[in-house]
Amino acid sequence: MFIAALLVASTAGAEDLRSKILEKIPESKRLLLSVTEADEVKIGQQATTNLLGVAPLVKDDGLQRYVNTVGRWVALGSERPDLPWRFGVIESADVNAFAAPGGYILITRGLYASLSDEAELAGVLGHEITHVVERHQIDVMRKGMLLEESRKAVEKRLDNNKDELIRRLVGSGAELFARRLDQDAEFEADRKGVVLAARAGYGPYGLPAVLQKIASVAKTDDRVQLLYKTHPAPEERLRRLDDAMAARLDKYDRPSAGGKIYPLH
Amino acid sequence: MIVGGINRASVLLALLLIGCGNDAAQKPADNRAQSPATAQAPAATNAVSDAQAATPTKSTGASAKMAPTPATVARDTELKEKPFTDAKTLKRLPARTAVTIVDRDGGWLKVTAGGQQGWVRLLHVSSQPASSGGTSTDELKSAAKMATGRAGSGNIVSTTGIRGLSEEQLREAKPNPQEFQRLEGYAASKEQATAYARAQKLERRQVAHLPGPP
Repeated sequence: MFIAALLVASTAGAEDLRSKILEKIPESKRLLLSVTEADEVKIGQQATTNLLGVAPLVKDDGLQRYVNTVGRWVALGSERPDLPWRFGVIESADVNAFAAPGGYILITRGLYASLSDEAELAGVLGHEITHVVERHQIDVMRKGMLLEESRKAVEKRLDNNKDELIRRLVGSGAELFARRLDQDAEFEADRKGVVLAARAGYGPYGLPAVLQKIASVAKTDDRVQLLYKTHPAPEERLRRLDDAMAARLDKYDRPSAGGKIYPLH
Repeated sequence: MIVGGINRASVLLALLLIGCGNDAAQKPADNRAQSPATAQAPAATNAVSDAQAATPTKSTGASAKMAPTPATVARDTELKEKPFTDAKTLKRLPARTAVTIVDRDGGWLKVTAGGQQGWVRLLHVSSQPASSGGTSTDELKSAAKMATGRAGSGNIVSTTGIRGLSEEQLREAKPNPQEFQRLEGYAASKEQATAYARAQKLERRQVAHLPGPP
């Protein structure tokens, strides 16, 4: 009951009421409902292991090490440089990239093949890194889980261990990656993603260039269906990026910065 | 074909052009160091005069760098002589003006608009969706190439018939712990990432996050 009220309070923006309710929840239960960094990593590991069951890694050690190196460098400029960051290219024609809590980021072969240079890779990874840094998935999971299950769960006290909470948050298989995040979270990830690329020494226009390519694909194309289901339209993302960027990052524009993008075989 | 196929020469040209207009001090030696000869002054002069001379009659030269791509101006903007804000405005382009993209330089696209060539901000241009009907055999072939990643042309070719990931597939995913172990094995340490960045002359820069919408 506390939890139901808590949700109402937070959606209504009544922060005072929310904190009053939080005070009434015993410490043990608060811990149960909180998601620590270690929990994030466990959730990410499980969800990623499941996603790899659908789409395994592309069999190219050099490629996988390359995206890990570039990804780690970009993530080092983020507010959470010390997460166990892992990056991979997965065997799928789908045009998409996925972030799981704790620092697990996978990009499809379909999207990787569309990249022209390392700045574009850095921009895409910057967007995904931001989802992890800002705990966007955790926000959505907790909302969903709290709404549907938590009252029951807390009342019945059947979840007096973290594993059960994590199991519920991960859900079935890799469905986590089919969940639509808060749409503002996507715009935020674009906005912060271009900055992470610029912090890493790349030009900031890699991500917008990739979004333009995605916008040029027919919306009926099967390979962008999941992306369109889970993200705002690329045209809208570009419009918002234009509002946010204007000419603010132009002094960081360095079109050929970085190494040569690792070729797919 | 928005950003594909820009060759090294055009990238260098782009860098040189930018060097002319922006605060050069903001741009310490980067990849130009890999091609020292091209970065010398005489080359720069030629590059700039080439770009200034670029007109629609020279569009064959541009298309050698990048296949011309039809697009639309997304909002009222300006066609600039060079790819930077302070460059001379050639003409105003109202929203929905049809343009043809011929090259890209960071945040700028080189376009032809009404027979005139110039530069427009990348974020002011919207790429038109490729025709969704009547996919040709050629398109399917190149899409199949893309799907296997052999093309590497930096484009996404529209197609039907190549499957993406479905929600159902994801929901029913079974864990693959062996693949997960492989993923763990590819991790890059801070030191490895930093060494790579140093080798590529990627500088860490202090950049504040952008303000969100009001």
